[in-house]
Amino acid sequence: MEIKNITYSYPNSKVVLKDINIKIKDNSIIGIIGPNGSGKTTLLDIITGLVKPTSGEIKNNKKVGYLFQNTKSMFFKKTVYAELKASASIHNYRLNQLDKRIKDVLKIVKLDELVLEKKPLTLSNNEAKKVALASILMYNPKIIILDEPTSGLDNKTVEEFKKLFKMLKNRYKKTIIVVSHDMDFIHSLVDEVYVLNKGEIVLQGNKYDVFKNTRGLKKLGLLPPRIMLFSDTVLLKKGIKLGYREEINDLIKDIYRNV
Amino acid sequence: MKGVLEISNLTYKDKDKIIFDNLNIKINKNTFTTIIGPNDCGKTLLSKIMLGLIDTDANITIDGTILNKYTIDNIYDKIEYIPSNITDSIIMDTVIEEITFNTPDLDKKYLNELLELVGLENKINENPRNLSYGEKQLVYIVSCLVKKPTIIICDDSFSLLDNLIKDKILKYLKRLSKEQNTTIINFTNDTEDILYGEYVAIISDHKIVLNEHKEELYDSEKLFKKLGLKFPFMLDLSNKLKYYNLLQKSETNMNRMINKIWK
Repeated sequence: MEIKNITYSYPNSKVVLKDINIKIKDNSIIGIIGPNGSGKTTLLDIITGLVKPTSGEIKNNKKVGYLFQNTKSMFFKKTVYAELKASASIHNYRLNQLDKRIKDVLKIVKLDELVLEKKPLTLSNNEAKKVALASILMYNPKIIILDEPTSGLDNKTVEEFKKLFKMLKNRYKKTIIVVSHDMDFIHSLVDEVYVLNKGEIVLQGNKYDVFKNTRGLKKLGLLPPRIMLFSDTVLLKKGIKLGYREEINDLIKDIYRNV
Repeated sequence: MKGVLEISNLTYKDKDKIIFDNLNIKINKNTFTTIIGPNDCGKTLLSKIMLGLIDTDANITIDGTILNKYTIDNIYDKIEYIPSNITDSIIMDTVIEEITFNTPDLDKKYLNELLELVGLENKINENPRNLSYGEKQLVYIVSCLVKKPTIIICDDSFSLLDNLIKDKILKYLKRLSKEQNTTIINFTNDTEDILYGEYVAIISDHKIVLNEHKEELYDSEKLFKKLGLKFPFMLDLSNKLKYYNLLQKSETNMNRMINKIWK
């Protein structure tokens, strides 16, 4: 997928996105971060075709699934079963194997089959997110777009989702684009990061390079992942260079070697 | 200490499913309490019960007054509630009107301080509907704070915000509780939040299993794990540093921690 020269402005000419260019490699996870109001959700709306850009184009010939920030607005049927069935039928996906597909998908998102009888709007936050994701997986998109997938979830479910998204990438060869302000989540999930500010991409690249720039991120109003912030503060205050780690245990080893 | 909000003998069932079983909680005046618990333990429900939005048989006392249909209007003048997603509740056409709506004694100086805190000072004449999810949330937060409530109840209010703004707001709430006679109750999914407050209450097993000063929790990694809650990063780091003798006493402030490790 390629995002080429995307610009978007409101009818009142307020510019929301300015000349966005992103090349997304197949089978990778891309993170998009940025302060509130930087245009993240608008960019996703354009990528998925919900909103037409003022200029520029999205080059893509693969099926796309979109997990909304406001998950419950995705539901329109009376039961979860009907919801999943509808999702499959819209995309004309193997209706003859429907029940097997539903079983498989529920297994992937780790939901009990009892959920099928429930009304979508009575689901808890955790279940709603999982059902919404399941309804996307029903039609087997190659590209999955996630807008704030962790908001409203407890830590245990966030960890579960992290594993799930990694599995979607590794085992099912999906490409994932994820918007989140949860830096620890982005840090441990993605391969590449793009930072939006006032509608422009201001930082981009390998996640380590982007997150290492903790002062640049702070200027934009973003607090880097805590573990990176720690290493950077040590460098700044004590001139001691620790590694940039993902796990606390590795950080401790670095500290141990440097005291 | 006097309890500003007390709930006793709260039992609540959703059809046949028990949500709360004889739950009791007391929140002290001018404190900052963080309430955590696994998903589906009833955090939002409890916050709504505190507000009198849901009828129960429990005794609820707020600032010395028993909550019932006769007293609820007076009590509401003192409380502000910040829900997790306010997208659908916008009624005015500019940010400034939305914020000052229903605020008879507007303190303009305080308003400007709040706008600056959340970075909305240049957006006051925009239509709030054109703002992002996170910015709408900020508009709502300012509109609550500017009314100078004595009790603020947050229900996962900050999960749509960037972490640096969230950090600023939580620090500000902490200051309000210390200096401005405000009681803060923060229901949250983000266990990192507990370090901003003074007290921590945990809901589990249909009741409050613990309501203590946060320092009592510094060694509770096992309890967090058991409940499926993430142990806050700074506490985890602090405990591990102590284990390897790199730190003598628990420390949750990053700068102070670094100064203690490399004296």
